[in-house]
Amino acid sequence: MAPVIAVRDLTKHYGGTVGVDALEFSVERGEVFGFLGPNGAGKTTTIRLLLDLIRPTRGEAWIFGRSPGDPETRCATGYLPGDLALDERLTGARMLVFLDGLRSRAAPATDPRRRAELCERVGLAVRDLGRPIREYSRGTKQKLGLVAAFQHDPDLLILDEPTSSLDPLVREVVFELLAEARRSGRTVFHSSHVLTEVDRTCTRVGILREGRLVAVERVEELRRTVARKMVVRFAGAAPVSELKLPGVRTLRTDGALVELTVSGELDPLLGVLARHSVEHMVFPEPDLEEAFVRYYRRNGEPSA
Amino acid sequence: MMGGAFARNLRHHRRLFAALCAAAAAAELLFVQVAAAVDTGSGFGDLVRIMPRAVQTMFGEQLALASLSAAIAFGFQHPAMIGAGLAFVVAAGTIPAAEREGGLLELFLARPIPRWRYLAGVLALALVGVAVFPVALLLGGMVGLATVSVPGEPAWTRYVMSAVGLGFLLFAFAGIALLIGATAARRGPAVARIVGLALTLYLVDVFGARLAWLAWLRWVSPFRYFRPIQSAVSGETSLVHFAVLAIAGLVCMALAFAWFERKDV
Repeated sequence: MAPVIAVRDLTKHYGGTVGVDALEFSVERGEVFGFLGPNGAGKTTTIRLLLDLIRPTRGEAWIFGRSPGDPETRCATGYLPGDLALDERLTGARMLVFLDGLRSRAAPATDPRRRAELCERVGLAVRDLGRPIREYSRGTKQKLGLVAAFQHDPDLLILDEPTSSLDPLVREVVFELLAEARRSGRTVFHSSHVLTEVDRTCTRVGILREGRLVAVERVEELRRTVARKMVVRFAGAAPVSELKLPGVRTLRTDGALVELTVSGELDPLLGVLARHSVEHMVFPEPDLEEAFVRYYRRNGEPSA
Repeated sequence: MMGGAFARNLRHHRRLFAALCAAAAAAELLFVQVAAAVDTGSGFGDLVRIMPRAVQTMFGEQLALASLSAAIAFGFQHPAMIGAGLAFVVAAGTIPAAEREGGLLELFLARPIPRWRYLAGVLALALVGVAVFPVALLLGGMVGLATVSVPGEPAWTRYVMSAVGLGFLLFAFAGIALLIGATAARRGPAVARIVGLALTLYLVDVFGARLAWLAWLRWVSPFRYFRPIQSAVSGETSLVHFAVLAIAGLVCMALAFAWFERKDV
């Protein structure tokens, strides 16, 4: 089956400035693909290229095997911009209907019950929907943008920083919506610079740095490659010499207490620990942030 | 989309549009009243004679046409009237720049809407102004003529071609406004460019008629092809002038569509 998003040598230059350079990646059906990078890395430029809002300097992108500008493609896409702008003169309810009406005439209109359900879930009260958007707070506008993106149950969701300006409760709802989308076989392209969010929602991530894709990996794989910190308190003296294993680096030893980092396979280290009496051990979940930062060290060259 | 965008654009601009049309109609009505008052008094001939020579020189050929009909038709050529018509056309034509600046364009064009259809919705609004604004002026003139009693004053139909001419002038500027509005990133600079251009072209026409060295440049000014007074007084209408304005508008519109299709938004 053709990937939902396929990108080959996608490049966008703004005069002498590089927006994105030679991007190559694909997103399969049912995936939640995280697109990570700090501000200015080229995430929004990539999204605009995928939506045919801007035209590439070089390379191509396909959505559902078609050109990004194809009306059918867009009909099956839900989009939430990072810098969401809404028509401030319209009421929230009218804006949702208007945006839905911009889809192809051939496409069925959104079921008002689905819209109402989404509004309720993100906490948009009927009272809010009847007010002009100019009276909305930033968070309420973002909720409206989310409903607009999800309301027609699109096969592909392109979300640029979807949880910005949202309170933690609504953020949870967004995570639920993303999980539901994934379960129902829909595809999500989730651009973010919030690692915990991507860690929680995505199956694979692409890491962007200064317009170039420096890595595309599964989230678990990314975590696996991270040098994870471990603190072990042995019952007796720490077996320092036995801990000299490939991928294990001892940071500090203080009698029975050892602080170390471990990357790659855990089995050899666990074998050593099993041979000794361990009183206490702290081994937190691998932090995606460490993996992410790794790609930004040394001019973006991943460190060994 | 075109219908939806047009309806939305019209809803957002209806107050401005109604105000400009009402002001133009009221001003034309006033023109008729003043012109009728002058005509029943000492008459236009005397009025011209008492004008300072400098003013006579400035208005030149226009004063040769001094009459009640010409004074009423002058309403169609008055800079304030043209300015009001242009204001609406510019407001409509620069919607793409405003929506690009505000971020709405991105939201709309991410939907399955061909770019040409979005721009057609904007153009449709500008064309409403092109069609309705001259009609509002004509209505003002009609009402004015119905309320005055001047012997020998011809029917309001004498001014129909003046209104048509104004429509063609606004059509040409609708094209210019759309071209600039579709390619600009922000509305403010787009409006400034259109207003600056319109003012320059107006002055080129005014001074081109008086300064021999500037006369050749008049040909590029749309105002050169808009002669409502001659049309009302002599009853002669230059279809060539209408065609020039129509072609200028159409070329600009075609360029706007072609450019907008290729442009990054």
